Amino acid sequence: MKEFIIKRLVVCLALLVFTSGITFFLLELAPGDPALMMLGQDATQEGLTALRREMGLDQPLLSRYATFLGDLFQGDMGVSYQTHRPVSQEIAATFPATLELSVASMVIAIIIGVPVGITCAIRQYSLTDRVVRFAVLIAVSLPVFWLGLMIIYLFSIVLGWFPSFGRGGLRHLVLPAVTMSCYSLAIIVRMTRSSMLEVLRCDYITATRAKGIHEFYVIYKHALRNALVPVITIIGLQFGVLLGGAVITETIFAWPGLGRLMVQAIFARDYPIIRGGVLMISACSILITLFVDIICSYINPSLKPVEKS
Amino acid sequence: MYVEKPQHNENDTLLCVRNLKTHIRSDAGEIRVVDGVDLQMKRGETVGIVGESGCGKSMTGLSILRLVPGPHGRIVSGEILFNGQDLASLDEKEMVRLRGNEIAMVFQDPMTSLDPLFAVGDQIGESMRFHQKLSRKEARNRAIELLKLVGVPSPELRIKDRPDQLSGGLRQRVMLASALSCKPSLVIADEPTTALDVTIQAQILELIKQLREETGTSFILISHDLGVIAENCQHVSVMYAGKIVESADVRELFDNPLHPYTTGLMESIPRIGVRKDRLEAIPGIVPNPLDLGEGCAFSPRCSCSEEHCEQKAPPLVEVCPGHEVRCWKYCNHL
Repeated sequence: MKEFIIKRLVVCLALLVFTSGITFFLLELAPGDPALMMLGQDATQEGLTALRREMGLDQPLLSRYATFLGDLFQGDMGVSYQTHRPVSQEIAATFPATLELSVASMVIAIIIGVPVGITCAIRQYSLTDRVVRFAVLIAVSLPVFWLGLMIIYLFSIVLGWFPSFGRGGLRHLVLPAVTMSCYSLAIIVRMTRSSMLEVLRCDYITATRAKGIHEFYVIYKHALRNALVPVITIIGLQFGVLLGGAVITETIFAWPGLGRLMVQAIFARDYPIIRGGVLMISACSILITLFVDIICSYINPSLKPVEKS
Repeated sequence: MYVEKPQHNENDTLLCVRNLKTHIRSDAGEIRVVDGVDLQMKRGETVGIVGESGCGKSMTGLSILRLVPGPHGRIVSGEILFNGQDLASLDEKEMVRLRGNEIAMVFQDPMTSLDPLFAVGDQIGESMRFHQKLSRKEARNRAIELLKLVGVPSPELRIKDRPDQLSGGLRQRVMLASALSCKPSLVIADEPTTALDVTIQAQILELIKQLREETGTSFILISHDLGVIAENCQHVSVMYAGKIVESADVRELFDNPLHPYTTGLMESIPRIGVRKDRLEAIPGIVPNPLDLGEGCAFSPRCSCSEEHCEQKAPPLVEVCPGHEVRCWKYCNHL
């Protein structure tokens, strides 16, 4: 297992270098000139040239990438064009907020999604099942920005229960977390339901019932454990999506997170921040995937990496 | 070789199924998978149910344990008297107490009937921990004893294995060990050897026979294989399209098969020493269970079918003591 994890970490590193390359070259392809953005439309040609040289933008593309990669391995992600503060500092200041929001959303989605999915599978075709399936369909198709605005309107403006923007205590977290969890919750319900349905039809579930095991144990010990691998995989994927996709929610709720930082950076052509943010999010997604694989191999030992003797 | 039928008195009836009907709802209509089955067996006896795929024999077994797959399947009517108690009217809680404890079941495919994620020792011990409230350690020790009983080599090591680490034969032995763990008085074995190699089949059947003699457990042996039934059962019921078409003691049935379906089944077995270019087959196919009509379900495939066979279903009549048959040919014996 140890060997497997080390091997996977090496692969993760290679993946990150690959991601960094893609981000770097894609940003080059994007229209817009950082120097022009910083100096404004009426900048002089001399001023622009001087700034480009200062930012190193006059160097050939490959040599700039090499410099970037070299710095990256030394832990230096560059300096923000806008604030002139190190990218690592900017990310350190915003990432905890994003992580907090994503974890909260994921916790809501799992705590509600898994039991609801199980219930639907046990009572397939019942009224509960039909209502939930309809709700899931709606939740998947709701645009986040609209849902966010409606939630703010209802719970913040009409009822006045929760603050509508900013980061603070638990009360500030509720509305953005609920908004963001909606989609993942629906996906988890659907995945749990279908995975459970498949397992419940298996012979060994009938065989377990035939042994006189209480239905509770049949469902939560045998069926759930067998149904869990796809559910956990989807939870991992959703978690990655939440980390990277918090942009809209963070913007609506003025949540000082990485997503909002990146949107601002994109508008300002602040390349170092964009690269740093993308790398951070991909690193998290890659680590989550690794973590999911390890959990799954404990749930289903036959998924454990084969040890060579 | 047949085991001599032991003498029983009336009180020794272990299971008596009367007019059992199990239906499954489908989009196309109600399927009568089990359509008025009667079954009677005495303590210590082994009864065989034989028939083609889809004739309702497995569903009969599941109905006795009240494990008909929901939400579409349900027992519509009938009595299942087990030790004088009607299982059809028990509530689910009492049924759970009975399953695995009084009546156990062995399933057809040992590859899919064991939970792939749990060690086999845990799976054998599970019902004992529930029914007999054994501790984890006691259950483990009992599991080792049981594996020894069913002939699994080095059981102390095997109990930690997951099902995918065992061969098919070993898995079926594990299933048997699990079924016998709470010393049930009845084991329903649904095609216990169908998914196994022929050599392993023989071993498992031999094991069932030996376990039956050692533990005195009654078996309902469900199979499509007349050879398996002949070797192991004292009494046989032949099922066709959800109904029992012939029922007799094993020797009587093989010596004197009456129903055209039974004779058809027997003729379709290849015999050593009899040279034949083609094996006899029953013409036609198993009828669509949704479209059985009013008459005898076998009449479209029957060589002796007459006009009235297609109009009215024949009753089950006793032709000679202990030998019942559902065919118009024998109704004039009444």
